Parts: sequence; structure tokens; C-alpha cells
Amino acid sequence: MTRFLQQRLALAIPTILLTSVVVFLMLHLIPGDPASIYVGENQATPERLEAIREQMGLNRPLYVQYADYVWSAVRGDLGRSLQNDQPVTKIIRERLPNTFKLAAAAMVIAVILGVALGLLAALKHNTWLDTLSMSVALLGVSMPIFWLALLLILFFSVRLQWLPATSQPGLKGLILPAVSLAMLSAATLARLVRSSVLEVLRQDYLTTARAKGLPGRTVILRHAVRNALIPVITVIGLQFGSLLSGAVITETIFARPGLGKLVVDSIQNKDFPTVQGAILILATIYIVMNLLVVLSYALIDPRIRLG
Amino acid sequence: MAQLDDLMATRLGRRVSRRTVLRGGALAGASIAAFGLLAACGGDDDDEPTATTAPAATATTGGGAEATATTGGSGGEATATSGSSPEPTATTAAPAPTATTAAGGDVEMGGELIYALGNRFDTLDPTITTFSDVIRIAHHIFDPLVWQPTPGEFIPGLATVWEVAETADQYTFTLRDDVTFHDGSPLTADAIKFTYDRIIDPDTKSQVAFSALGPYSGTEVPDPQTAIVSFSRPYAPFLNSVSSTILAPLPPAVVEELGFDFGIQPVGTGPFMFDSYQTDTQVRLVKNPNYTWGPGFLNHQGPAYLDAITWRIIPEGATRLAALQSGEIHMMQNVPTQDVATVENDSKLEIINAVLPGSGWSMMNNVTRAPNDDLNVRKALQYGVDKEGLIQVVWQGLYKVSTSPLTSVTFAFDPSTADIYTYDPEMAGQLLDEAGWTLNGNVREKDGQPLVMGLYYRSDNPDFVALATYLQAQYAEIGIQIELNGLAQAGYFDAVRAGEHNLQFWWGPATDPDGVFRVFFHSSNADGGTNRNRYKSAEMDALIDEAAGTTDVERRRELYVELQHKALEEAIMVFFSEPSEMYAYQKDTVMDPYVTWAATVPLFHNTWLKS
Repeated sequence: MTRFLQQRLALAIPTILLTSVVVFLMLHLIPGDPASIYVGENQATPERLEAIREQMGLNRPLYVQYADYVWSAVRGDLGRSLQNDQPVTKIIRERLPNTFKLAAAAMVIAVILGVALGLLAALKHNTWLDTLSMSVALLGVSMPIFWLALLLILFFSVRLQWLPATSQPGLKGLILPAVSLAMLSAATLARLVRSSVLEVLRQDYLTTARAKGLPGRTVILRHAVRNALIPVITVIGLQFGSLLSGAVITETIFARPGLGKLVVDSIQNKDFPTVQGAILILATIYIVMNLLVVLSYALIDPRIRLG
Repeated sequence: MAQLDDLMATRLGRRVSRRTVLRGGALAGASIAAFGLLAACGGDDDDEPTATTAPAATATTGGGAEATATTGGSGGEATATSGSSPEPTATTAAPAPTATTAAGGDVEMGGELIYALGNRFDTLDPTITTFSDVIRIAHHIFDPLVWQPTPGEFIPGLATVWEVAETADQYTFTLRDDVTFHDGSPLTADAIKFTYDRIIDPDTKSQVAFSALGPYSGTEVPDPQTAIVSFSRPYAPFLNSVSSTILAPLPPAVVEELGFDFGIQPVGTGPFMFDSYQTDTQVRLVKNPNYTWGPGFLNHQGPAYLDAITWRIIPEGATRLAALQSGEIHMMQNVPTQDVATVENDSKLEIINAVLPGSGWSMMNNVTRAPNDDLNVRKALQYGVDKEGLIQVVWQGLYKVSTSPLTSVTFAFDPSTADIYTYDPEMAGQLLDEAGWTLNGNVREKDGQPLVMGLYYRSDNPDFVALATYLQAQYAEIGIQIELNGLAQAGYFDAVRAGEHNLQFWWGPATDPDGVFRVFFHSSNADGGTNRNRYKSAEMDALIDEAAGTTDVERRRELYVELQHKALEEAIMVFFSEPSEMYAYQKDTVMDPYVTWAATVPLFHNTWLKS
């Protein structure tokens, strides 16, 4: 187990390095000069643009810029934003809690809703409950987040005035964004849980369990659901990762500053240090999430041994 | 009520000092008479911007007679100072008192105003930012050297007296001696020198303020209250520049200590002090209790009525409006044009539709690139567009048609420009025929080449996208094929700076015509700069430079009228519409909101919340 952990952690280092190289190169390949974007529509002579480029450190050869970036990053310094001169670590630190709270809340809602709908559909296979659950899931998959979010705002904020339209500190401000963000994941999970449980229900060992005279509830919860959870856990782990980085629309609509929106805004402004820093953090979170998912297999299914 | 009595007592005390200051200004009246005249010119037509932009310019406060006396007193004195006709002052005061006072009643002290902005920004340092939203906030943290209550009318701000050299290349400001920064340090002329020298230092990366300083060459400080600002060539627009907080004096010691972090914890002299800033989320300001130097056109100059203002950033227009409707915020800006009807139908909300001075939505021809190098082709583009229809489609008919490089609320705007180009597709066709572009099927051709123009625009701006689509359809009717190149901003800037475009859009609010003509047409901005017409003409340059160096207001106006006609004769740009800034607020709660004529700045010094 320890050996396994060491191996995985050692593997994470080249993964993160590789990610940073790819991100670095891709950012420099996208057309557009950060100094030019910074100047925008203001009057600027070519000499002044050059001076700004110099000030931003963009006149040095690419490999020098990269080496400098890595060396600083190792020491915990991710550079300063080209847009507002703030340390990237500070910018990310401000946003990470927001992003985590939103993703975690959305994940909780998605898991509860998704697993419940999926189980219901599987256990009441081919009944109207099954059809209803899967219709809800289909709606969740196909409804655009921005539309759902605006509907929720119109109903719960403007009409009923129960919940704030924009994110405010506290649980109340988290509900609408989390629900709108959770819908897609919930729907995906519901469909997965349904098919996974249906498949397990057909297995021989369940027939055996029933033949032994175990009560239905035990058969379902102890034997069926637990085994059906392996693929579901994998997906939950991946979904959590994408909720962290992919909440751009939700963050924009509910005016929540998070990592997803930061990455998109920074890419548009070609704010290299911020994009690199944010992606580095997101990549690390992804790797850690994956590790946790793998570790959880061993807990759920004793047949799986890590080592 | 005790609080209110205290307020009245302090205000009466301060009124005296304010008057003294203004009298000081009046002595200098002669030296600034030129700009005073400008005020009269700016304010003499029906389109007086203040009338539309300031629904509550000067409401009466709790003190009744006292308050009115103060307003009248300072207003009158201010007019004397600038030596202008009484007209602008009258207009400023006119639309306000009745409406708001009747509804508002006694001023209530305290409370926190929540105001929603639409965009994230870079820094709260007004001398570095490139975002107009920051200037909105900065007008509360900082004070300008002079105020400009109506176009061209200047009244004392941090400077009580200013003297402009005949040659318009030297300005001498005398500062108030009772102003302190929020950290307690006194305001001296060194702050002006420090701030301006810092702006031109490339390491500061200043953009807007750098442009506003123009041909700045240096500041001398003969004594702590006097700053002599010099320029390398005549620069008449400077007084307009210093009437914005983009050139507000910063506290040197604080800036030196904080460096770029000054941008996240600014310290100024304004009626509100910085309290906290969560990047991309909100800025909170609290009342400056020591403030006594408010502008003369507001009805009180002492500390603000509000305890605090929170500026929230809500990027999505629909959410911003929902937050206003649900009462989460008191006021918002950037009401999307498609939502204006919703606001108008909501009995709890009020809208302010303020036409922006400067230039409107327009399109630049790259005059160095065929076929737009041909005058007849450019004229065809002028005749070939139905601007009314365009405004209906893109902005729900809410904007006014633009016919000149200047919008109708800008100094020197010439209404006769409306007759130069009207929608006339037949005329457009004739002009194209004359230019040798003849119809072959649906698209015109010359020497076997189709008449194609590349239109470049930023695809992240929905207005640009809608404009481009509309124009493509319109110009197809006269046989011009428009190739749409909607790009992300990075690619867009690269392409248009390199001159790869035939056509590209512009949107350019400004408060002085120099900020329009120099930006659009001066050859010094033609190579990769803002003059993406790439238009170069010695004659045009000379006119622009002459206007910038003319302190005589009538002469200056004539020059700008001539410039408007010249730009239109050469058909360098097509002007579509005069943009408005749309604000919406809760009319039963927010009392006396004031929006400056420049329409980019709401001032909350005078605003109060009704419980």
C-alpha cells in the first residue's frame, strides 16, 4: 500500500511537469500579444508597446521564460498576473475555497439525486417510475446550465424572493448555483447507477443470496449496490474534477469568482502566469482525486488489492 | 434627528470656508475666462446633457432654507468663477429638486448602498487602470483637480484657482490648503508632480491616464500649494483631463511604500475611503468623516450621507437585473438594451438613459487597403446603411442615430452633419458604378475581381456581432460582399494593428473632441495605433493640432466643426449610433442618485437611502 502510494506520487511529478510544458507552449502558440491586449484600444506607440512587453518580461527567449517559471514555481512563487500585478498564488488562494465549496455542494446534490433516481429506476425496472426517473435524467443532461440557472433565479430570487440571485456568503447563496451545477452530473450518475445496478442484479451471486433466504433489503444494499458502486465512484471522482474547473457558466451567472472563470478570463487576456498557475493547481487536484478514487476501490471491493 | 442637526451645524460652518475658497477662485476668473466661455457653449442647446443624465442633481436636504441657500450660494459663485453665462448652472439645478425632494423628504443618514458593475477590472489605481468602471469607483475615493459639471464648465475641485498660459502649454494650479489624504497626510503640490511623473514612467504601464496627460513634459512645485504643469506642445484639452480622477493626485509616500499594491488598497482624498477588495467580486468603501471639499454643484460639500458603498461585480446582465428586482442591490449599470422594457414596466425601478459624449458606435475604413482606398467606395458605404433599421435590430431602437464623429452631447457637435449622408442605396449604387465596380449577379466586380471587404471585430462583444451581421446583409443589397472576421480579442488586436482589415468597429466615449479626432484621424496614431483608418493627412493633422492649442473657445469650436465636415467629406468612418449608458435603480429607496454628464460616473456623495 505504501509502496503503491509512493509510486503514484512519483508519477505525479512528471505528469505535472508535462502539463506545465504543454500549457506554456499552447499559450504562446495562440495568436495575440499580451502587451497589445493590455493596451487595448488606448493610444500607444510601438515603442511604448515594446516597453510594456519588456516590463512584462516577454522579450526573453521562451526557454528562459519557462525555466524561470519552473524555478520560481518550485519555490512556491507562481509569478504575478500580467493584468493586475497581483501574485498568482494570492489570486488562486482567494478563489480556491469558492470553487471547492461550489463543487462539493454540487457533488453532494448530484450524488444524492443521481443515486436515488438511478436506484429507483433500476429497482422498479420497466415500470412508470423507471420511465419517469430516466425522463428527469434526460432533461438534466439536455438542459443548458445557463438556462436552468436563469430559470432558478427568476423563480426563487425574483418571484419568491427566497434565495439570493448572486452568490453571497453562507449556505443560502450556495443553493442555486450548486443545484444548477449539479443537474448535469446528477443526470449522468442516475443513468450510470441504473445500468450498473441492473447489470449486477442479473449476476448469479444475487440469486444465490436470495436462495439463502436473505431479506430483499440486505440483498440489494449489501450485495448489489456495493458492487454496482465501483464504476459509479470512478465517475464521481472524474466529475468532481471537472466540476472544479468546468463551472465557468455557473460562476459567471451567479457572479461567483472561481477557478474556472479565472482560467477563461486569463486565457482571453493572455495572462500567462495566472493561466499557468491555475492549471497547475487544477492538474494537481485532478491527480489527487484520481488517487483517492483508486484508493477507495480497495475499501469497497476487498478483491482489489493495491500494491 | 440629533445626527441631522449635527450635520447641519457642521455644514453651516463649512459653508463659510467653501465660500471663501470660491471667492478665491473668482479672483482668477479672468485667467480662465476662455474655459468659462466654453461652458456657455457646451450648455446652451436643448440637448443639455445634465438635463438627461442627472435626474437629481441638487435635491434639497433636510435643512430646507439653509440647504437651498448653500446650493444657491456656491452655484452662483461657481458660475462667477468660470465667468460663463448662468445657463449651465441653471440647467444643472433645474431638473432636480422638485421630483426627488417631493418623493424623498428629509435626508436619512447612514446605510450602505449596493451598486452592481458589469465587468471585472485590473486595478483600483485610477492612473493605471484601463477600465471605466474603475473611474466610477475612483470618483469616490479620489477627487479631481477641477470639476466639470457641464461640458466645458470648470469649477474648483482640489485646485481653487488655475491659470492657463496663452499658448496652452502651461497650467498653474493652486491647491486647497485644507485637504488631507485618508491616511492623514496633507495634500501638497508634490503629489501632483509625483503622480504625473509616475504616469509617464513606462514601468507604471499606464494607458488611459498616460493618454490624458498628452504631451506632458514636467511639473514644477514653487511652493507646497502651487503646481506648474508644462507640455511640450499646446494642449488645451488638459483642463478636461484633470476634471477626471484618472489624473487625481495620489499620496506619494503611500504609493512608494505599496508599489503596485496601491491598486488593491488605494488611498485618496475623496468622500469615501477604501475598506476592502475581493478581486473580481466586490469593493467596499466607507465614509470619509473628515471630508469637507465636495464639488460645488452638489448640494452639500461635507461628509457623504451614506456610511458605505459596496460595488459588486455581477458579469451576467440578466442576473444583475434579477438582483435589482429581488432587492439584493440598489442600483446597477449596463442595463442590457433588451431588458430596458422590463425595467420600465417595473413600478419599483427607475431607469437613467444617458447619451455618452465623445464618439458613438462607428466603423473605420482602412484607407490604405483596396477597395476602401477609393473615396467613392467609402461614400457608398455611407449611403448604403439604414441606421434607423440598424438601431432597431441591434439596440431595440433605444439609441439615437449618429451622423458625426461627435455625439450630440459633445462640445462643438454640428447638427448640420445630419444632412450629409442619408440612407440612399441608389446613390450608393451609382457611386460604385462610377468607381468601376459593376454588378455581376449579386456581387459587384471590377477587372474580374469581386467587391469583397474584410470586416474585423471582437466576437466576444454581442453588439459587434449583431452589427456585423446586419451590415453584411445591408451591404449585400448594394453588391458589396462583407467577409466576417469575428475574432477573440488577442487575434483581433494583432490583425487590426497590422492593418489586415478593410473595416473594423469603434466605440469611443470621450469628454473632449481632441480625444476623438486625435485618436481617429491623427497620423501619429496611424501605424498600428488607434487610427486604424490608417488615414494620414498633413492638413488634418494641422487642424487637430491647432484645435488642441487653441484656448479661444469660439475658434476652437469652429475648428472642430471644420474637422467634422472634413472627416465626413473624406468618408473615413461610418457613424451608426450614439450610445447610452443605462442605469437602473430602486426608486423608492435610492434618493438623489447623480450621474455626471459624462455619463460614465455616478456620484454618491449626495445620495441617501430611504428606509
